[in-house]
Amino acid sequence: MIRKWFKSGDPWIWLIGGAVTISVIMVIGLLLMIGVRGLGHFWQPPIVEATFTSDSADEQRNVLGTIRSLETVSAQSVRESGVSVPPAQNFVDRYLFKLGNRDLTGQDFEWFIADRLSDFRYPLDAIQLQRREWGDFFGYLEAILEDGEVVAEGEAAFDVLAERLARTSEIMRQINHIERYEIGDINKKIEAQRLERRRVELANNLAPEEKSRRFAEIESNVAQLNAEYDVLFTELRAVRDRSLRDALVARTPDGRTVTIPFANVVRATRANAMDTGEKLVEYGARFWEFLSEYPREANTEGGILPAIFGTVMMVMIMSIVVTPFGVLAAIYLREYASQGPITRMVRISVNNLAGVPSIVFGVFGLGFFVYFLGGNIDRWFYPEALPAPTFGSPGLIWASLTLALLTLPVVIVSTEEGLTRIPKAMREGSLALGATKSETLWKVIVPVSTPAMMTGLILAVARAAGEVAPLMLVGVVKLAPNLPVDGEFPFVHLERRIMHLGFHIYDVGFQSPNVEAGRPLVYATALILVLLILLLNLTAIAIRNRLRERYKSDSD
Amino acid sequence: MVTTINQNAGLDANRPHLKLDHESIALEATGLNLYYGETQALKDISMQIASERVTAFIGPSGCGKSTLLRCFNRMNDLVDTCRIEGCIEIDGEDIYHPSVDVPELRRKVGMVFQKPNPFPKSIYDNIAYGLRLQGVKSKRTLDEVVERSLKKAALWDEVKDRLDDNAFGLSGGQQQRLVIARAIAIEPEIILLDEPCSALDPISTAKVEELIIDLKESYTIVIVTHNMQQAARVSDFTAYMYLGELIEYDDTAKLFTNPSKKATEDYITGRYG
Amino acid sequence: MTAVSYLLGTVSVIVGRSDGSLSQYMLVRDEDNIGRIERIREFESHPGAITHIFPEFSRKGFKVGDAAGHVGLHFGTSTRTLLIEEVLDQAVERVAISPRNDGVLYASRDGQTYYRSLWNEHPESSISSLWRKVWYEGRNGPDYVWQSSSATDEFEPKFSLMPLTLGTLKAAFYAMLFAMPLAICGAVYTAYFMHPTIRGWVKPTIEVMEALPTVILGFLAGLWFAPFVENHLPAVFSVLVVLPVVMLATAFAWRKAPAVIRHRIPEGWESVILIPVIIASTWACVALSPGIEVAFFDGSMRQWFTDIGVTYDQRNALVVGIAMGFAVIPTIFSIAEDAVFNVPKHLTQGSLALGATPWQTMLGVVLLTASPGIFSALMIGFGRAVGETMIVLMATGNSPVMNFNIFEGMRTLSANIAVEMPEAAVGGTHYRLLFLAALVLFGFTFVLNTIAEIVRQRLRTRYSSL
Repeated sequence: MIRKWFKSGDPWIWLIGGAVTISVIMVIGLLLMIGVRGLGHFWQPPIVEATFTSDSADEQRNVLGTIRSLETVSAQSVRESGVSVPPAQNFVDRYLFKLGNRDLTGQDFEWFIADRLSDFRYPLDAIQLQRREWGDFFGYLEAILEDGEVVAEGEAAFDVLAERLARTSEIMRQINHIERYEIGDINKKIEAQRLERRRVELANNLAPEEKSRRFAEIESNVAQLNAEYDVLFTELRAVRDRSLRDALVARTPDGRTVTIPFANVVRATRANAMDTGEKLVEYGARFWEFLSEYPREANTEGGILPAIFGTVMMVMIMSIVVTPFGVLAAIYLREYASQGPITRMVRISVNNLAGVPSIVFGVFGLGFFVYFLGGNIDRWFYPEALPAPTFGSPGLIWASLTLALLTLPVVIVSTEEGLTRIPKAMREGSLALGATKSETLWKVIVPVSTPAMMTGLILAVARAAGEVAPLMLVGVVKLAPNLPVDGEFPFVHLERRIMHLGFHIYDVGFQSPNVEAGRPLVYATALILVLLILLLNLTAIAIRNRLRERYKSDSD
Repeated sequence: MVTTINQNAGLDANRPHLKLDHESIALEATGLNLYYGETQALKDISMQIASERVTAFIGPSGCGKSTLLRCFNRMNDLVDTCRIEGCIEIDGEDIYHPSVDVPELRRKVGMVFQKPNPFPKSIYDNIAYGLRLQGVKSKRTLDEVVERSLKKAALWDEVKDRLDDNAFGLSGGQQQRLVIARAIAIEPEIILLDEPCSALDPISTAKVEELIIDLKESYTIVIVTHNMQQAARVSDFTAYMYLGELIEYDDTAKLFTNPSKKATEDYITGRYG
Repeated sequence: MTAVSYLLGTVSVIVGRSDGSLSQYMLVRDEDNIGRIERIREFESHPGAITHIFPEFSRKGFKVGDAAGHVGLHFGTSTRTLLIEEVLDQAVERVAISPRNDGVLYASRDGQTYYRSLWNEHPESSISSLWRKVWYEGRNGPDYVWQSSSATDEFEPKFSLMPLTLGTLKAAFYAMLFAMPLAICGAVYTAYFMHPTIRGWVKPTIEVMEALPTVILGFLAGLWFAPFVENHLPAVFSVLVVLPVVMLATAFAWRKAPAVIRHRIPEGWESVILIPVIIASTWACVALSPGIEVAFFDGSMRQWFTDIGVTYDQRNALVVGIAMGFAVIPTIFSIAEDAVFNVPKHLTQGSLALGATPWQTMLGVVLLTASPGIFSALMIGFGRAVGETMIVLMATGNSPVMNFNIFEGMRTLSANIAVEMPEAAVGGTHYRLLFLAALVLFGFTFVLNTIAEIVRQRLRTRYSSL
């Protein structure tokens, strides 16, 4: 009977049905994992204190931090790493603690065998500080200092801390503003003067006296700028001094006392004393910080604003380029070209283009756009800056153009599909009313197929937003000092390198010195990228399905 | 031998249906209702199909004749929203009983469709397909069956030299006869023909009709047709259906010359519609 | 022996003889660490006795003069003889080359000096040095090596495209090994057996899967999956066996289930019924994994592999195969599903009417008809696997090895471009070779895609005629 059952093929149907199930579970599992870990990054976990007994059982130390993970491993692998485990024991539970205090102990994370940890406590007064440097700090707040004098101690200290932290944050914002914008501005002007000088040097048609007059002018400008710079620098120093007024004294779990200036503290939390509401508020604040701040600590902390901005900018410029090209090409192929072998070849090539590895586009972009086009632009328009390249190095515009090329087939195919779907009757109806071919095309066909073009564009954007490999060659960097858009003429700086969400993931996850510390941030970044792409794709799917429904009923 | 028992035996005056004696019944449907979702496509159909005879179903488009035909080998199972009440018995067994092995049933009740549907394989493989499914591997048996089936389908002489050619190389009429040969290769008891000639030219049609008459020697044949002349030419019994109901079912000669219902008469004299 | 000279880096010497022959010698150490001078390659002979050998300043090339009045230009690594030219009617006494390799000086016996300018770019690569074994300096024998840079300037760049090509094929092979069964089986099931309602959910899910950026797959593969696999090796292997068995068992149990339950769920819901089963059995495999390690592999399967002599890298071909397979599945799935779904219904009905079960119909008619579509799906999937960059970059150690061991990594052409292109000197041999690698990739995927596209167009016309 079993044999007959197998012969009927039923079991095999289940087996191949399982293949679908496995694929779908993998997709959903992956999305859930990114979702949970990405969102978990912003939740304040409790701060745990435990007593750790060392191998020889004679030494005990306090461990304070948050638990990153708990896992069960075979005793053998732990023994191999040099930790002694009783021979009878086959499995070992171990905790990964985030201990912070990298400046004091040299490492952020440490594994502890669960059996050696005892006496788990959740001290209410334990604080976690997010710092601008050296990562997190875990310890106990002892006192607040103002210019070295104690102003608050004990219980009251934390409230004072919160209050004064707001002041310091404000000052830090000022410092940032002065450094990034005002001094940056002057630096750019000085650089502009240097280029001006070079331009004058290169200009062959100027008389020597004219040249020297110009040089003098430039000299005086530079002198003036330098003076401005000095003023700003003095101001900056004053502000910086103000930021150093407050400091806090804290005790580390191993009993040392450290002084941390407020200027180094981003946020302070007493995790175990917070209720759920406070934690939610903290969650929101951290999430907002993540979206709206610049990265810190070699990108492993802080926000991803430049990466979001760079991705969006690049995709926008790409859309502007790819839409007209793609749509016009599709209209030509479908409406005007005679459907002969040449059109067929073009169509095969377009589909082929979609299958070319993205890295090949990157290489093409580097060779053609960056070095050939960019190099020539530099020679013609920016000779004074040479040999330092302006457009002749990877940048926003080249990244956008490369991606436009990469996503061109997506737009063409989608638009063509939309054009094919339009019922013949609609076309003939217009022609029968005496409209010319182009009138029919522009007044009837194109408006009706707009949703198809939208779908194509959205899919192209989704594809471009996730593409990283070619960008590594033509325009992204791990840390861009400036956004590609700012208040300085010409406002949009197409030649600047950008940061990118996808590259940020690669960089923080694989190129950063402290991978473990950056890991939650990578998940959070991945979440943002996935959300962006899912949103775009689901929109495209929805538009397309509605479109199909519409024409289904039309053509019946 | 089939004997016709007088219709209208007084049992049900509104159902002037053919009654057959027990041994000559190949298939019997009783109180058959079929629904596609909310719409009822077949309404309370009860009929008997005579064995080794040709029975034709006629009626206007959408009257349910194809649907009824498809009930006989459960091809309607493939339609998701389809629901069936009543019973159809072949050899005294209800074919809609849950324990029925549907492929087994379909082996017993072959079917030929409106459009010739040879598989994208060689002529030989098309015929041998059904047997191979049953696990027949012997080359000799297969050769024999292929030859016999093609001969029965009057196609042997035309294709014997190119059995390994792709079946798509055949003409429409040849393809349809190939499909019939394919159906009889597995020795069914009943062959259902769903408008087998509607996609064919007159010459091919004539050949297929000849074939049908030959085949009734050994098979029970049920044919759905649009073409009343065809029904008159090939069938022994004819059923006229309208809007899912079986209006009249009788000896073909009787139905075409002296229908007992006004509706039937209107249809066959072309006054319908 | 008439002339001897070290090549740059003083690792090997060039020896010229009176019969005009030129060979390169080098100290090679065998297994017992005993050094031995070996002749590693021969150059094209000169017509006269070699009089002088002059090495290039920045590369492994050298200039040769002979007694018959010829100067020759040869290159070590690629064994290329670039030039042998008669310049004098008497012996060439001395030759020299400019530091930038753009000019050459030679002197005749009578003290006359001559200068010629020279264009000699990229002598270190040739078809055979790119694709065949080369005996590099400091090695025990000829080998395929890719090593583009090093700390010292005297280093001999090793540009063999073989390890990269092999790595590319290795990655693509394992990816296809994982993706092919899942994608094809899934596509056939979805198109032919699955209930339309569920199909309406599965199709967008797979489209979402296709849209997932590969950088995310790569980072998960490298940071989460690779360590996970390393710690749960038995789970990986047991899942392979357990899942099919469990699925068959579920099918059997379902058949035996009371009719009341069975009739409540229509056909085509098999994959939904399997969801809890698959999740539970996968979880069980993972949970049991440490136990299996302790019971059979002395506590660590990874260590066990090392003990029996199998190299195990954490980021290996297995991880890449699964991650890249994940990226390739939707590509294959969509195209194959389309091909199967568009098989004309009257063909399947014809088969069913002959008493074939749905499975037999699928095997006998549907697969046969859709096979060109499935073939082109595989081609396109393979092309995608070959060109994929980020996953390989992040999920392997990127070491250019020459083997097919599933537990070792690889370096692919695409990842190599991504890693080295930003650092390659513009216009140099290395830079151009990276362009060549891109061209190889392009050509490869171009051929695959064109075949696939032509097959697909044929299929489309065939369907419309059926």
